[in-house]
Amino acid sequence: MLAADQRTPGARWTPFFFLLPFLFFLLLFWVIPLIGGVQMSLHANGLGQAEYVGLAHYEALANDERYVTALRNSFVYTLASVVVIVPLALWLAHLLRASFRRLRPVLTFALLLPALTPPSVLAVLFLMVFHGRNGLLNQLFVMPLSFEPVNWLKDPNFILSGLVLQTVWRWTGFMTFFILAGMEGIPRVYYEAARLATGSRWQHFWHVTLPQLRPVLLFVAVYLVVDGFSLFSGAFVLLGGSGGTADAGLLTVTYVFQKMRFFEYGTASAISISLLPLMIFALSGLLFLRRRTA
Amino acid sequence: MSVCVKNRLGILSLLLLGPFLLAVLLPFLWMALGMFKTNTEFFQPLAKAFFPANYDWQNVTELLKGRWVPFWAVLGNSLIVSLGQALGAVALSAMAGYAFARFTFSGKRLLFVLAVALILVPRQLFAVPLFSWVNELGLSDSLFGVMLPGVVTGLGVVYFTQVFRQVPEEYLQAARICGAAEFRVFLTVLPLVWPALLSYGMIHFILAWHEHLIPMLVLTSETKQTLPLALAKLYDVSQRTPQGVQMAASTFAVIPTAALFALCHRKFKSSLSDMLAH
Amino acid sequence: MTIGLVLAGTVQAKPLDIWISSFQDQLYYESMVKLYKAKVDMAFEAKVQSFGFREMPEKLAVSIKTGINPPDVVQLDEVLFGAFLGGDVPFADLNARIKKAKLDKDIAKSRQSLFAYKGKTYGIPQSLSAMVLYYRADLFKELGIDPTTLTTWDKFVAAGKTVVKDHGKSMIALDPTYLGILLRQRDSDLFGRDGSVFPDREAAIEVLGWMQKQMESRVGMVPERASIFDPLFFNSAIQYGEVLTVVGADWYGLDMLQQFTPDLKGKWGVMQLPAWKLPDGRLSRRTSTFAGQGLLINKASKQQDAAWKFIEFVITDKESNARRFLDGNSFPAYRPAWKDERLLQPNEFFSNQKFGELLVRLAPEVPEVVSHPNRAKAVFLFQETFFTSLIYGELKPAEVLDKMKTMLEAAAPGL
Repeated sequence: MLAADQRTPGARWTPFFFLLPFLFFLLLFWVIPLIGGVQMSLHANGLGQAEYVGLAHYEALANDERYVTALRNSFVYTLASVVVIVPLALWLAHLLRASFRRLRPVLTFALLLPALTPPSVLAVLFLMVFHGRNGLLNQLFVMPLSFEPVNWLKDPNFILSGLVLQTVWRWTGFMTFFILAGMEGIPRVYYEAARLATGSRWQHFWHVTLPQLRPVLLFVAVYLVVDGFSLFSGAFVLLGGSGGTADAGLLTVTYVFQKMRFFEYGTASAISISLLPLMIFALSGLLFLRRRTA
Repeated sequence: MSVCVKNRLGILSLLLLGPFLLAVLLPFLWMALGMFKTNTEFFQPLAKAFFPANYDWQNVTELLKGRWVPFWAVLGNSLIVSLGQALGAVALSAMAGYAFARFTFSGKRLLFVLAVALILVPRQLFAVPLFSWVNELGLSDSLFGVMLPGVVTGLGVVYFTQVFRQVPEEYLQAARICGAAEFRVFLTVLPLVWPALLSYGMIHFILAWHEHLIPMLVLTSETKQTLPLALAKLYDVSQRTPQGVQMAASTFAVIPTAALFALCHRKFKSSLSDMLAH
Repeated sequence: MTIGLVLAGTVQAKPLDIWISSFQDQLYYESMVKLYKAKVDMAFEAKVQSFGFREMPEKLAVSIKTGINPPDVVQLDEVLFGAFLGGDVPFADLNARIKKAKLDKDIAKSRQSLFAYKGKTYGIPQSLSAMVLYYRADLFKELGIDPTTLTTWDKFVAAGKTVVKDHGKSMIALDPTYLGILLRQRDSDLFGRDGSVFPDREAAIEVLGWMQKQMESRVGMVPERASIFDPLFFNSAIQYGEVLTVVGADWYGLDMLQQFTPDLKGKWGVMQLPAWKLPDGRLSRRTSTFAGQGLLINKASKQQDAAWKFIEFVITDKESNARRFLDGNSFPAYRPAWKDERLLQPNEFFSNQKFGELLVRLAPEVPEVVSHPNRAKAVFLFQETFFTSLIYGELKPAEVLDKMKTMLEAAAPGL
């Protein structure tokens, strides 16, 4: 293990030589359109030659009830996904480790299938799962527990839960895979030592395994935060661009989509850009945490 | 641990995994079976008609013959775009990761955070400006117009930064002592991390395979469409595609990525383990 | 060389770019292009591209905004047309052309203003879009309901209550689009001509309350995914005979019912809508309207004359209009076409009723739609955000109305 910040010999411009291709394409295909996007956020909505309006869109957002709802929903959605997926994936990884070695690849593959599927296909599958009366979820879980069937897509009390379930179903297997890989990467030494030492299985897990898994778990968290705030495919396949009854399922990406649908490009861009500080903050926070624990 | 205990644990874990596996696999099974159903059968409640009455291959053959969308052209386009993106992304990210991992230079941290954060912004922000810009570059309705924006990836940079941090300094020093230029050093390190290259290539391939927004904006001709776009067209109500055909297309959409994963699975896992061990 | 240039000048510069917003119509328009070539102009070339119903306005908007490859002719639905009215309207004003072609006399009066706004007319409507009540003739007979007695909504609901009580079925399927439809039936609309939102508050509250009440009493039912245009609805509730009637436009029955419920051929019937009792004591009209495609010309097109000639052909040609009806698409808004015998025959699918004849009879009563830049927004807002809240009793009609009013009034198109 080496500190990465070791000075290396060679010309000062060497690192930039390696960065150049990446930076070139970044500049060409992302920074330039980003500037275009920023510009759009400073101009009026609509299709014609838009006039400059400065920060008017941003100010409007500050007073926009639906924007606040969207932020709140996205936050809850992301948090819930992380809170449900991480422990679940940990447990599944544990189960997989305990299961027959031969079967492991097949089982992991099965769990990964949702992540390998194109989002539009997921829409079809969700029809089967989240169907108000005949869906899998109601048939196999809700009704046997003698509850009334839940109309996942229409009942405002359940829409966000439906969204979270969709994310859980889609990404848990993927995260399990990563965690499993992480677990297998933990040198045997640690496990031997733990077994020799006193303490319950749970304590071993908490004090030995978990710290070793920090990098994996951070990666998982980053991925889910990205999915929660900037990936639209999940919400789209479930609700089709709608925020659902009473905006219960309105996410920030959904709101952007709705604005674009009505050609309010300025507002849509403003919403996306307003998320940027949040994302940078979250990312820096996670990276900072990562370095701390190294 | 005794074999007996191991077996019991194995069975117990299988039982516990059971419901999850079922939850995951059942919808896919339903989807695949849907290929053979008529429209009426398809919408029946599960209990009544999970299995089709007849295994009629008509929907599948019609789809493959290109009656609804130019299936093979579309599949080919997706393959080209995803492969191109994967190769490009691996090249660019590996080099960038190497730079971030093994050098110090001013502005490094800032650059890193910015490069990655940029990718976190909702893609829709870029939609209209990118469309306009790609057109100005003359890449409208071209597969390159989809490939080139896609070779930039923040996830890849993070990944390879981590990977190259793992390489022992001694290895690099050995190469340098021989008087090699830095790029030569980089090339000699690559074989060492080839599982990581393959693994990331695979992840990126999958992400590119699923991309929707940018292909939708850039590609206009019917023969240039990628798989997600063709699927969207099939699902559109005004197209009146039989459900069976939609299911067949959906099933075929999953096969390439699933197959790719099945092939690379072990290498992917071992490289991940190595990387995450630190 | 000059001769060559002259000849080149008379040949069409480049193919006409036609964008249509329904994959269904791709074949129809391709055959129209062929017909046009055969009958009018052999040198005519056109490229027909179809897009999804919701995808089309987005692609159109992006192409207009960036100026990249915009189409010459656009087929757009009136609901989505409104979204383009904020600011500079990107379509050509067709008033002069319409007058010259005498289409102002020949297009059904109520439909002429469909694509008009602030004195200019931007498109020609293709369908009459008269709303009728589609009912299951077979089930009516079985349950002993005589459609001719359903002259008012009160009588309809009374019959419905019996159906619920004695047979456990629902009388009518409810859909978010009914808000505008029922308002228009009662001489109101979502917007006033002065640009106000929900000009007749009482009427709106009554319609919203009516829908909520029917849901409560089970006389009305809401499809699984809250849309009567959903294939799922056709294949479940309709298929199992759980609901007896649906309010729909001519194209709903001609296009969707025929496509999605082919096994119910001969079992559907058509009749006028039951009437409302209006506050002043009269009975309302027995039809309404919603949506309907139209043809528009891009203002920036360099081939507006060629575009217009093609459009005029599609709208007026006898064969073209007959085909639309017979191929299960829509009933034309072009009045001379109504004399075509083929449109007035008994219709097998609709238990041998003379569907075309009914539509011709209803035509004079079809109300106008008030155009407004926020019309699309209003329709989708209700559909996506408020319909289910209303239906499940989460919000009271007045609350829904006031919330929508606030949101729509605040939503100025552009800043």
